[in-house]
Amino acid sequence: MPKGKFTKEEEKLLEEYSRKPTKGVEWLFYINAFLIAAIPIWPAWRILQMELMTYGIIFVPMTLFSAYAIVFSYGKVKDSLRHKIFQKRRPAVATETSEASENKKLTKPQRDEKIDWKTNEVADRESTAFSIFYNNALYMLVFLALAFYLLRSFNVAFNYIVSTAAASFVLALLSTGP
Amino acid sequence: MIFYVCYTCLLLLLGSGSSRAAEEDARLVALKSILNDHIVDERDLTIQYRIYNVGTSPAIGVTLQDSFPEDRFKVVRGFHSVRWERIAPGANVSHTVVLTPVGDGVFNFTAAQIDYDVAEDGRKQTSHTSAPGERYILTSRDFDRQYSPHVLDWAVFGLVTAPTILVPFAVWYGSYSHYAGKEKKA
Repeated sequence: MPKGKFTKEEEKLLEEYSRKPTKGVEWLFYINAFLIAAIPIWPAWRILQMELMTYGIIFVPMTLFSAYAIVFSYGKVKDSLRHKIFQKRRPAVATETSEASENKKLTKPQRDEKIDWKTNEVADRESTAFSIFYNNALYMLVFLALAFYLLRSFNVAFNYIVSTAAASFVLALLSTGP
Repeated sequence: MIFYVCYTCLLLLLGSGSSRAAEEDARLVALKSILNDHIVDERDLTIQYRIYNVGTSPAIGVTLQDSFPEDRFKVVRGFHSVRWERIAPGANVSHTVVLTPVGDGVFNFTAAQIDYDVAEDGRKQTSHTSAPGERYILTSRDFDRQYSPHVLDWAVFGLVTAPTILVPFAVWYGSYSHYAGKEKKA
């Protein structure tokens, strides 16, 4: 085999255990991030009375900036949780896999491989779901606290820009922490 | 000396006569008040005038006159100029005008003028109501931003935001509770 090239099995293993999210998870992140970044436009328009056409020049770049920060935070939080969840779930997945009748005929190495694969799936799913939940809730909380409490007497454009930027910054900061 | 004494007595007599007349005259006290808590552009503004006769004679031919610039206010209901034939002593009357402000900004609400006869002899008196003073007229947008409850808007916001938080939480919790139970058994 030429140096630097992997077999199909090695490529599959790399994909399964890689920190890089799969295409499906990537799209999930992008869609969720864009949705969460765009939702603040509704209260800005209806409650802060910021006309869409007049303030569109602020809404569009801030939405894109926030979406980028949210995707970044999703990935970081997922990465930091995945290994911990893998270790926590392995015993339970091992028990569940061993009890399944179709696995009783497998050899120990085959069973271990199946357990690792299943645990990896569970960890991936849980870390993805928790990362999306945590980041969405935190973003909304910070945005609402800033826009409708701390900055409520400021100019509306300043209010919106600072609220969304600060919420994105807090997300990115906390996601890179321990 | 005698001339001086007579002159002084004459002055005193005349003075006491006029003060007795003043005590028997009508005396009006008038209030002009804005009933709105907030004055908003293109929304009704209610102004109330209340006139009290605190004198001992009826006030005759009472005329209330007020004015508002046409480029700042439109009249919805009521008149700027009102007349009452008689206001009995101890009685009071009120009058209300509904206006609509045109444009926002500060406006100085000045006093209205009241003209009346203080007695049957036709002596005239001019007085003024109280003046509400400078008030700020808000735009509809600013008023909605500050004071409107936006119940429906918040409800829609909640409906749109809730799934983005609850759905991933439900997915995570479903997996967590499934395997957490099995961890305990293991």
